[in-house]
Amino acid sequence: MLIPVGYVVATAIGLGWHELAPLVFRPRVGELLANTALLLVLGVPATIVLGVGGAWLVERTDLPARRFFAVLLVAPLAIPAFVSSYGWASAIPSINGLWGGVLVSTLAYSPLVYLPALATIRGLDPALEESARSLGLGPWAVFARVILPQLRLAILGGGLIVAMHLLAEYGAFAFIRFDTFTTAIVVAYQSTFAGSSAASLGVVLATLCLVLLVMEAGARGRARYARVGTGSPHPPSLARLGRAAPATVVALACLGIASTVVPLVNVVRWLGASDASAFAEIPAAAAQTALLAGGGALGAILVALPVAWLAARYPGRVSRALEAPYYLASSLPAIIVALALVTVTLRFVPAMYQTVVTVMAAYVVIFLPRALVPLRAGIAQVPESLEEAARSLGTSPLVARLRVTAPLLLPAVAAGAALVALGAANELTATLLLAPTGTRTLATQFWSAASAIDYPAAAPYAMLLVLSSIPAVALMFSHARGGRVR
Amino acid sequence: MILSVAGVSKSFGRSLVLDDISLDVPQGSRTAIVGASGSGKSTLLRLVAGFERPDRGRILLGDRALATPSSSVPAHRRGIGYVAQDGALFPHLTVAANIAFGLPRGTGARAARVREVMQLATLDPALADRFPHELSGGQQQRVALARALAPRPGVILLDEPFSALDTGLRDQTRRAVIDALERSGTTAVLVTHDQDEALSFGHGIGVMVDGRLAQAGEPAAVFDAPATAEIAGFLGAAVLLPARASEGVAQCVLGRVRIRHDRSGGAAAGVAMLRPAQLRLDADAAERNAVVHAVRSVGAVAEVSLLAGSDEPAVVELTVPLHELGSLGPGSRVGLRIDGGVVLYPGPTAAVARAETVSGDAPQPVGA
Repeated sequence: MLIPVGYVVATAIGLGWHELAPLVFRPRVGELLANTALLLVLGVPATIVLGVGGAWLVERTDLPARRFFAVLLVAPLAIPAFVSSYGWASAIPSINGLWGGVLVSTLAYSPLVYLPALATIRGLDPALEESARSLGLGPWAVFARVILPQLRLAILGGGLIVAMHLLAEYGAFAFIRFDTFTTAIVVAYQSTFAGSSAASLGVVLATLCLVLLVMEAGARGRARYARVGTGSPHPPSLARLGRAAPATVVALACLGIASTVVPLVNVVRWLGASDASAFAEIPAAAAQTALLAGGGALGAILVALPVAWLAARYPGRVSRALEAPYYLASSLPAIIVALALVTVTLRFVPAMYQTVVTVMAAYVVIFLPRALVPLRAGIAQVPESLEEAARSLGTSPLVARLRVTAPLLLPAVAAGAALVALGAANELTATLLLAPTGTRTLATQFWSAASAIDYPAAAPYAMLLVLSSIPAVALMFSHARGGRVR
Repeated sequence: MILSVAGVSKSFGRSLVLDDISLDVPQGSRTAIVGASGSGKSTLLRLVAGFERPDRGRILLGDRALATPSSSVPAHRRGIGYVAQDGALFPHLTVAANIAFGLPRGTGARAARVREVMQLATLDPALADRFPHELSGGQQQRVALARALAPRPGVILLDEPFSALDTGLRDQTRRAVIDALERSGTTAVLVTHDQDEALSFGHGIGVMVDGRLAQAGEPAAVFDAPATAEIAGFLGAAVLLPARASEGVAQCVLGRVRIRHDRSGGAAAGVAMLRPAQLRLDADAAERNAVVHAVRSVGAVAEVSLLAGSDEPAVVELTVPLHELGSLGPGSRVGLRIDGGVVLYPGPTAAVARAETVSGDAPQPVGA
């Protein structure tokens, strides 16, 4: 798990200041830094406004067709960002640069704020809002002074995840010719392999990630351990939109069209134009995707189980210290994880270079938190008294875990595995760098066709990526609505 | 097989939770351990069950050592049943599968044993295929008991099994559980903070105070002659009156009373303890030694608070059937007599007995 972190540190030390400084302090890096910073400054607040606003509208107002919009707002999650970008770029080729990047990424990533905000709002006790109303606050004041402060953790957490995705995204920005650190690292890698140019950009990118992590941790402060109530004792009273209702519906409909309808319609349009040869390689690609993603999911569960167990059963400084490197490594962009694994395998175990095992290891590192979080919650929900009861009935500790804890943990394991597998199936950068020559996954096949502007050939893969994402997205959505992982 | 705990101590970090506990539970008997929360009673149970290890002392079942300072039999090999506070039913298993959990697999006798213990715990056979969340709280606890009884353990431990139930259900479930234990002849240890529950559970009672076993014995004997005034107050409403003692007789504000147990070590002055039920109120007595201070009617009875004696009046509260109250009201002078003897403790004590709740302009309670 610590390989990527070690790689960044070792690179920085290995290059030394004298070699690193000219690579870092050059106009190109300044340009990338400006691009990336602008992307964060514009994109993160936009996703927060869309995500929080959407969650409030569907949960706490009398918006018409609320259930429909609740689903529509999460739908972009089923469309990988690079597919969404492909839909837009193939429809309007002039979309490019910063504004294109902000548009595409905001539309694609707003569900990452919407889901935690939705879960939090559903967990809020309506009695709080009613008390505020009885104290003379109007609906907007209730939103600003009662709901918004309680959404702080959801906003910070969701915002951080969006920022990490913006830093790590490659495909979506490459389509619309918007340069960020990640796209520049891939370009540098393709021209000079694992040279010092790619490595130094990686050091800057990793530093950016670290800065964001520290900022988010600082903003959380003590609120980290605050717990949201378990559920609503009675249905909340809904704020009336009144005359604003039609405009709100139109705005949400436009958002849905931009984030979901435009990409999907274009995928379907190109699908109609693709000939039979485009479908020939699909079974092989699907099988390889399933193998790699399944292996990654299995690996992530196996690595996450002991860590989640320690964190849930023995909470304290030691288990937090054990967890920290996992989260740190996983918050590094996939491109850095990939560069690290390329460098380490080539230098120390050349036999592992570009093997299936290395790809799966990268998936484990990149997507581990997706397994860790549901597992930890799942383990915390199995009371220790159940294991004690089993032991008092004559079963050994190990058998007690197998017969009692394991079956109860199954839903959490399934949820974690599904989320990791979804991420792995849609993963592009690490797969491109690490997979054995000749590997064809749905994502890489899509990418090689689409980046060659062969849009019809890419369409079947795009469609499959979307379809295979739907179950996992449905799972996340039902968790958010249920308020917690069960 | 006698369950015996000998000189057991246990600390968590720096705090000593159990301090030199010794207790014997004879085979087939039921013993209740009662204490306030934090007195260490649950820890004692967890040591016997094998979930924790004692720092000092030994735990034996018959002549088999369950725990010594150097060795400990793991919980699953002790043959000791355990019923947790919330029942701890396995949520993914049906009632029948929960009960069969501890029975050896692959024997035809399982289903028969499940039916048998369900009947023992007065569980409707129709519940067998239900899941725990489809049961009421009382049913859940009876399933937990049936599950613990099924493998015929040498001892069953019950950790506040009724505290999560509401009042009506609690009495009913308690009776069903005691019945099932009685009919199966199982040795049982119950931990509770409810005095009445402890006193009515069975053959023995132990009172825990601050990690020590302050007193143990038969429930009637312990209630009749508590070792200290604190235990007397903890086990039930007690009236504490300062008294001078000589030749087995105590002289207090209500006159001369026989000392049935002297716990003062033969002191000449101390505190006399009696139960409110021993007080007799007589409106027509020749010697009227108390004044009615307040009367609160509660349904069919009245709670009467009186000031007894004249020099340093003591507040005494008792409950009288409403129809015996007659025309008594605040200010009425009455005669107050003590039936049966008192227990004498060294005093004056700072312990505030539960009978001495004072309100309004009443003088300070005795001993405060």
